Amino acid sequence: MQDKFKAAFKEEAIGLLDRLEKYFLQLEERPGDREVLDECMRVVHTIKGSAAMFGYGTVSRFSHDVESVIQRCRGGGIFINSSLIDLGLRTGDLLKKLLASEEPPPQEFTAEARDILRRYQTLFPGGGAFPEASVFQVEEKASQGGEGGPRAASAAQKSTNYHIYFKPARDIFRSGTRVLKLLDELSELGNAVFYPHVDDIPALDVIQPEDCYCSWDVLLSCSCAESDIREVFAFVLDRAELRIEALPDTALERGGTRRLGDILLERGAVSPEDLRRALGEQKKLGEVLVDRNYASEKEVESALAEQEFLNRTRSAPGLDSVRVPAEKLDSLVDLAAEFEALQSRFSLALRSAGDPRLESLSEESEKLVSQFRDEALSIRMLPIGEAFEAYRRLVRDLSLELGKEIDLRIEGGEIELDKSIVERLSGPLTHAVRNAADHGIETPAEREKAGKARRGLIVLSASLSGPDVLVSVHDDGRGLDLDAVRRRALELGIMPKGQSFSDAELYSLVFRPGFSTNHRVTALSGRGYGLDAVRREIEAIGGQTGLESRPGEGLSVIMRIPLSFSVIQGLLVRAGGECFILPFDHVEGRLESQKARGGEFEYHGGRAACLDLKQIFELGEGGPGIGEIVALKRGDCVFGLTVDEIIGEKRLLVRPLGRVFRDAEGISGAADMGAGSLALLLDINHLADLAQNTHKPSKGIY
Amino acid sequence: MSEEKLNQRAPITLAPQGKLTIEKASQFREELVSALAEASTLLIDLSDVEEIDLSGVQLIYSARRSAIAKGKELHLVGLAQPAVAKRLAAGGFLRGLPRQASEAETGLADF
Repeated sequence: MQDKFKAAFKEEAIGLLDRLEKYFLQLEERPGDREVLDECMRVVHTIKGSAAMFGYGTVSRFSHDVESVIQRCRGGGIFINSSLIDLGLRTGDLLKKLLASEEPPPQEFTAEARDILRRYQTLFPGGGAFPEASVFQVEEKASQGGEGGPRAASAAQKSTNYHIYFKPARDIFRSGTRVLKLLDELSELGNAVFYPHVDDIPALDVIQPEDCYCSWDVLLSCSCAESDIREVFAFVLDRAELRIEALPDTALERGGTRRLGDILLERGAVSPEDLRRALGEQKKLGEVLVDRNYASEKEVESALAEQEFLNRTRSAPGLDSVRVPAEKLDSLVDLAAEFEALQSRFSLALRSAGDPRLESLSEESEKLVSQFRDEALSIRMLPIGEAFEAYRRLVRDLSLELGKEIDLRIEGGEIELDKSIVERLSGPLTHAVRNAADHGIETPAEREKAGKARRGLIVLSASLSGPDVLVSVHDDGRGLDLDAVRRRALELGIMPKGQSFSDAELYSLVFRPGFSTNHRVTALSGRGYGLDAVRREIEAIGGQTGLESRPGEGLSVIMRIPLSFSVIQGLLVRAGGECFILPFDHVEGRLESQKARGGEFEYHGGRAACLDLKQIFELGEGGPGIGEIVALKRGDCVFGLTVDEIIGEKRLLVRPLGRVFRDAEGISGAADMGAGSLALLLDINHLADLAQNTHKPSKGIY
Repeated sequence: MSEEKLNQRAPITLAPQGKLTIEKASQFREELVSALAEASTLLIDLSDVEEIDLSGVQLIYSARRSAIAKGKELHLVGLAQPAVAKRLAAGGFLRGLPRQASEAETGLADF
């Protein structure tokens, strides 16, 4: 059980750290942005708190120091510059590493932590980034054999939360006890919050000035034992009521949700006793507290805001959302797919039975099943902007490494794609971004010479285009060197001497395996993951890749991805005994096969290329069918495809092919037709390319 | 309006000096009682207080109770010295350490 929560905490913390990275990068752009600083503070604070709860002492202590640094920044004590952001990013990376390792962390990590803290110190004028003595530094001294041995040793242990109730006897002052001093000592044990109860203090005419009327609830978070706490009160034990209880981790019990009451308590806006009283009431806690004047409306509002914030960051445990492991969603989607396949077999069987009552029932069920599938799929949709954000860091690191100045702009980040697609986009995107930074964007000096702005720009954008999403990586660098491409094509013998290729043809060459005009291998790109790999990966998710280059002005790598690769409207055809699917959007019409002659067919008064599906896939004869032509269109290119039989139009759930068939040319997916048979989704672009090339046989790209 | 009434309206300021500790508790109580009897608004200036303990804190709370019960006002004014603010914070009476006493008042727990 504990492990499960720990895993949830880790996952959450890593999500928070990703956000922190984003905030740091925003700060670099807008150093004075108070709101962003506040968000940073909240994130670090949350990590600090939860880390302590789950036994990540080092993470918690380190975050504490980082929190102090951010606090200093909020106070305006330091100018936020790139060195500070560098440190911030290193901090985030280290926290991730610390979370991935067990406590106590390896030596190298603690050394890195100390190094980071030391650097923070130097950034602050006159040092003093940490107002309070850093626990980390105390520990450091101890490990160097300095003072504070036992205390430092215990500091490395897991800290415990204690609830202490302390009610001094009426006559405690007379024994010479300094109550406030005692409480001061208590707070030295760890992190203490005091909630005084003053309700018993009577009016002036009744009060006995030498009597004590106060009592306290104390929440103490420390790595000491109960006996250590008791020791503080050793001399007053006979003159006070003292209860100490180690708190179970409430956040553990409740899966990490923070209750409104806890937050108010922590902020001292309400006392535990008030809270207990109020909890006995029926109304919403916030209202009760305001009604009874325990907390002002403002306090409750601000605590509510915090609660909402926490719920949001936890992206779940609140009331209106749940956190679900991705595999569960995947299996739900798989189930929906199987359900739908079963339903379509069911419908077919019923149709042949010819019972109209059953058929109408089946139609209703069909509708529900497809709704169910759509819902299941929509749960897995993620805004692509989340994936884009990750590249801010990459672009920043690349700029530093390459000595270039590059900005990143994100456009259309709200478009949603299936989670699995977003994940698979990361390889191609990374490659394209690296390429743009390394080969596309020039050095500041080169840019100035060319009359461009010193700073280069990379734009990551997503836009809808029909049933597809266009994801593009654009840079304003030097563009593709077509002459170099031409030279390379000659070198590789792809382009026969004396022949010239159009620009579009040259672009398509760039995507061929092993084709690279850049012989220089840098640490960044040129390591085999070329544009052909981008193309392969994009095709595997049913998309296509293209280039747009304006020499001297920039290059765009455009990836066209089907919005939901899982569901398509298709035309089902049969050839050589196999079933194939043609994307319905590209189907122009059907004709009798007699119209075809010599690889061409008559269409709207003209002649167009006509392919034979059986030839393309080297299928034997077989199966019934009179032979028909499907007219297809891609862009301006219309062509025909001869098949044995057209079965009909159908909405199909298409899955990507398994790893083995991923590279199969001409196929971009498969749909389950029931009874173990598959229909293959034909790649319209591949067909169109074939048609274009057979129609102009003089050029042999394929 | 009579002069006597005018005087009653004008706030009276009580500025205890030195220690507000158990040794001075009875005396401080007397001072509070008589000041509150005269004033409709009593200001307690904490600027010259060098040391405070729980008994002193209790009396301030107590005076506030009495003032409210009698429909009068009682406020803290002046700049609290660091040692005083620190003590107030130690018992959880103050969150943080506002030095301005009037600022302290709004932050004083359940005051």
